[in-house]
Amino acid sequence: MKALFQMTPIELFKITTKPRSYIGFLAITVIVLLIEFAFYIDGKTYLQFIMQTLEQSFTIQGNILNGNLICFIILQMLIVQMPLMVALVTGDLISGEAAGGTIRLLLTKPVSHANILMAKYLAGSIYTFLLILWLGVLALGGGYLVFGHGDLMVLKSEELVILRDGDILWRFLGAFVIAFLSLNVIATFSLMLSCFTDNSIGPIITSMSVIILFTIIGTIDIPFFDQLKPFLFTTHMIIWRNLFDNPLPKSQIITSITVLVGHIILFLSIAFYHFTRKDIQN
Amino acid sequence: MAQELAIQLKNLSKQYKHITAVNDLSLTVNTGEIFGFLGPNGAGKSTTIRMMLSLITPTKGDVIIFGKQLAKERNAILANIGCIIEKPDFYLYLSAKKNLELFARMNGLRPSASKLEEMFDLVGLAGRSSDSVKTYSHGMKQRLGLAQALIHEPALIVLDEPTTGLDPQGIIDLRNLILRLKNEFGKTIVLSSHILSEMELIADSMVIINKGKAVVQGKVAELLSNEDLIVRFEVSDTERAKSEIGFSQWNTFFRNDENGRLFMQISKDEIPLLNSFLVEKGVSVSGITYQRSLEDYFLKLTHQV
Repeated sequence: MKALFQMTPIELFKITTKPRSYIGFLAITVIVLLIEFAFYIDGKTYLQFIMQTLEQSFTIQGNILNGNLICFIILQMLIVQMPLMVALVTGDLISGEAAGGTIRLLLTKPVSHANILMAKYLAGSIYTFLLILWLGVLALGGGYLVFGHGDLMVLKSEELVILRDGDILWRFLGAFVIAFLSLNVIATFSLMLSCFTDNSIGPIITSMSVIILFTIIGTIDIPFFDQLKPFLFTTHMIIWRNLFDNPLPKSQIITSITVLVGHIILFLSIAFYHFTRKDIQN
Repeated sequence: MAQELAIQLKNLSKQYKHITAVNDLSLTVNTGEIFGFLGPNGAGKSTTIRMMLSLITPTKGDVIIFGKQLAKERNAILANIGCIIEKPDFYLYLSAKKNLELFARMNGLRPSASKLEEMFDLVGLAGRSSDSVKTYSHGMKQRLGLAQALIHEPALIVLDEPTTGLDPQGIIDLRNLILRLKNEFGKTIVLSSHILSEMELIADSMVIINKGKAVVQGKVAELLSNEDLIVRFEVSDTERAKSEIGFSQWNTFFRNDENGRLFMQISKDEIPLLNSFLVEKGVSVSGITYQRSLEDYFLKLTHQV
């Protein structure tokens, strides 16, 4: 345990010194600010267009264009891109050391392979957490600051959910926790792939390819694919949206969280099995 | 009094599917000595060294370092080893000082700024510690590699091909540093190298391995004492010297080059005898230099000639 406490800050430090680690923060900053700016300039026109059909049946009053709506829209958009930002860093954690040759020195230090891998996983998780936190600060904090508070209208394909302002914050916190778990699956997956190769491009590209493939399978309504969908982690990565349902589909959310955690454990176990037995020959 | 063993390899083997990289290798290294590890490319030197450092898991056999079994007490053993494996690689985006600090912290140390500077002084990198490793030459990285290997003051230092890519001055500096580490600090040093004459200059003991097996092991002085040297004689009259040698017991062992120098393949003990012989025959000898024909010895042992 002492070795783990000793190694995790070192691994985190290494992440902070790599320029690629800031790409994610930069991308989030640019995208979120751009969206907020666009909504600030033209948000009302956009919402009027969306609400046209609704206003034929309902009378809508109050501040609809608020921080809650902005954050919800940003989450929907960014959750697709964020796996790439995470894999860019976590896919390099082991393979980057192998490519750079530093793995030889790293593995001759008096720290077990298991502790080194665990430290890298924890550092990758902290990085993922900070990325989510930054998204939260900009999207929710920035949203409240610029657009203020208000009830959230969630337009779904079959229903319109209206959530009271006072009933939303915990849902966003829950959504960020699930987003963290989802991205942690990607982090663990790319870390696992990183153990099998000596270049970091492979794990990053493979991670993204798998996400794209699983997402395509998840969106095509073919009976054969329907049988696969419950087992794909991408199916469960979008469960954060269910936190904005009323009533809350608790069992569905718990099932998805269980599947996500199960994937993290599975990928970590494979990574541990391989890494602790790996011969360093390069 | 029996010398304490720093390293014991017992029947060490490494099998990769159809290739046997190391085959039932056993050897011992005494504490406080410089031990040379020789062998042609692909002989299994690097695999053996990596098994000693737990980078590769042996298929069979034991590695015992300072009386502890590597398979059981890996971390305790590695805490007492400093190493450079092949080329010294570092985090290029960090400064040399930060790299050294990181590797020290991986050993559980938090070195002071003065300790870090002391290490940079020791390896001849004083004044360059703040530079990014990206800007370092190979020789400088090699020195930094040594600093990294020494920062936690290990009792055993393992250097795999440390002279690769170094210029002549770099090789001399490294040799002097290795000798200093042994003589002043009492370190045990395991060294693999392709420069065989280097090994003769600094190693106390050595092993030559080929095809994963030890061909010969022992004290360098003992192993090489009976081997012939290539001795160059600078003489006043080359033709006369050749003629006199032609009628002597050394008549089958001489040749000369276009500059009129004589090259003799004789043992070390024969040098004064031949010198006296030439002087007696009226040939002035103005210089004698020799080099060990280690390459020949090496090739003979590894059955390549």
